[in-house]
Amino acid sequence: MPQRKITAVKLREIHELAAGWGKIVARRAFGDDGPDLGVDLTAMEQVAATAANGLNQSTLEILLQQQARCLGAQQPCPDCRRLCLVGSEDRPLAVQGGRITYHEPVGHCPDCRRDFFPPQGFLAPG
Amino acid sequence: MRLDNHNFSPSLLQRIVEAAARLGPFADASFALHLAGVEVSARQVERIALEIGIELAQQRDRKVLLRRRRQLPVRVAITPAVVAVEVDGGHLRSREPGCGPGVYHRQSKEDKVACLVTLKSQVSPRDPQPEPSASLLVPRRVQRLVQQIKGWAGDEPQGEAGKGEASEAASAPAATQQRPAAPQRLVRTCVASMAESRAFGPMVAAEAQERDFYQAQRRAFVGDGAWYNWRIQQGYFRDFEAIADLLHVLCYLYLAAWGVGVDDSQRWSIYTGWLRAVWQGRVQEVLEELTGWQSRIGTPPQGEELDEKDPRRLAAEALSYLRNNQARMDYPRYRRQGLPISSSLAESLVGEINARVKAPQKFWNRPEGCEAILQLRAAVLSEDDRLARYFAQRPGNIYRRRDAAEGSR
Repeated sequence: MPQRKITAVKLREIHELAAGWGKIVARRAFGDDGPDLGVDLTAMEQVAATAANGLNQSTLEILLQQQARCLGAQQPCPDCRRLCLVGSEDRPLAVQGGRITYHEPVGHCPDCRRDFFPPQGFLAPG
Repeated sequence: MRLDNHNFSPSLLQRIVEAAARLGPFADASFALHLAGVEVSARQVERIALEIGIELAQQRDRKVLLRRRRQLPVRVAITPAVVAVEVDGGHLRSREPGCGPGVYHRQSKEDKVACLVTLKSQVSPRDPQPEPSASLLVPRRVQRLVQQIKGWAGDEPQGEAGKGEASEAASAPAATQQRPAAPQRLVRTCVASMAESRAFGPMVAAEAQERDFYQAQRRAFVGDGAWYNWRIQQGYFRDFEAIADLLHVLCYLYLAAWGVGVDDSQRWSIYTGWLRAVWQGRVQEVLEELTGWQSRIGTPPQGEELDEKDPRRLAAEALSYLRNNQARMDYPRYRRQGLPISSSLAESLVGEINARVKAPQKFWNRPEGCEAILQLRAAVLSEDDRLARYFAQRPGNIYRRRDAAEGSR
């Protein structure tokens, strides 16, 4: 399966969209009037980093869930090609900007008596 | 997803590997990653680095196979005009694996390093630099250079010959002060391995093939006197101009002059005369002079190991070195062609590799540990985004260990 890259234009659009949410985060953290003089830069950085982490985790988890749905209920076993039911297992995954829980699709082949982890398009026998 | 047994995304894996290849002990890499918000233990950094290093070595070996079958494609879009392949060696310390914590059966092992560079230089109708570089005529500097390369460099120069760098450089002839444009380095890539020369040659050839070095207009292969360098050159770079590294020649001349001269000023005078002659391509003259000195002081007795500072031995070694490499010492012609005359690029690359792999308390498991860290270090020192390209194509595993999938590690 060819790996598609996101275009620079699309990435710029996404950056602008996320930058717009900065106002919402700032308002939620410090109210409509913003931070008073007692708030230092470190505290502001903490708010921004937490917001970025949250956005990062939620975006990745949603994208991975959506992609997992594309797999359908059954996938062929990489060895014997028998169609097998696909379930999911939670897997902690370190990604750029934090950790997420990946509901990883996992198939089990009763003939080969082993689990496999689709999608296979990106994969090679390990 | 291209995920493997580790619970890291491919982009984080790349960061971990890069940190392991660039930063000293794995604990330092782990700490640097912690600062960057990636929590990974030093032990895990080490495991991942070893795994990726072995994969890189396997990828390299596949390319060697493809080259042998004439199926290795050229990777670059533009054929370079001037190229040089420089080969040198270093040392690292190794230990026997599987013997528990600590260092068992320690051995110093030689690694081989090839520096493949594209250059920018011009062809000149006349020798662009007929006089030796000013830096090669500064006693203290030359002595330091010889000390670095050969391990010892005679006594500290005294009196006139021992003048400081500043005063000596100031008194050097005006012609030697102007340094004409040396070949300018463009892109460097690196091949490093513990393999013996028979296996190392094809690895370097595969890298040269991928970078289209064989189609370049001007090609040089620079090495010191080690026999395996010239075996690699004859086997895989026959069409390249074979050039004996001037800095090693200089060392032999300096030490021979130190051996035959009676005082510092005579030694320095002999050295500068010989260096100038070799620089200007008059190697035969130096050979004749050295032969004269050798007959005066005597030849080393058959079957007797002389002290390394014995003048007879020093003169004999210089004679032997010059005779063996005379055909590769036509320096004026190399300069006219805009080719490098020293393996300084390889020397400096070996230094950069050693900065990561060599330290008094650093021992690598034989053979995988040594080979793996060399692959990683070579990858980060190569200016061709080798690691990024590798991770962009690295497949994941269809199967994983249960504990990894469940995140219990």
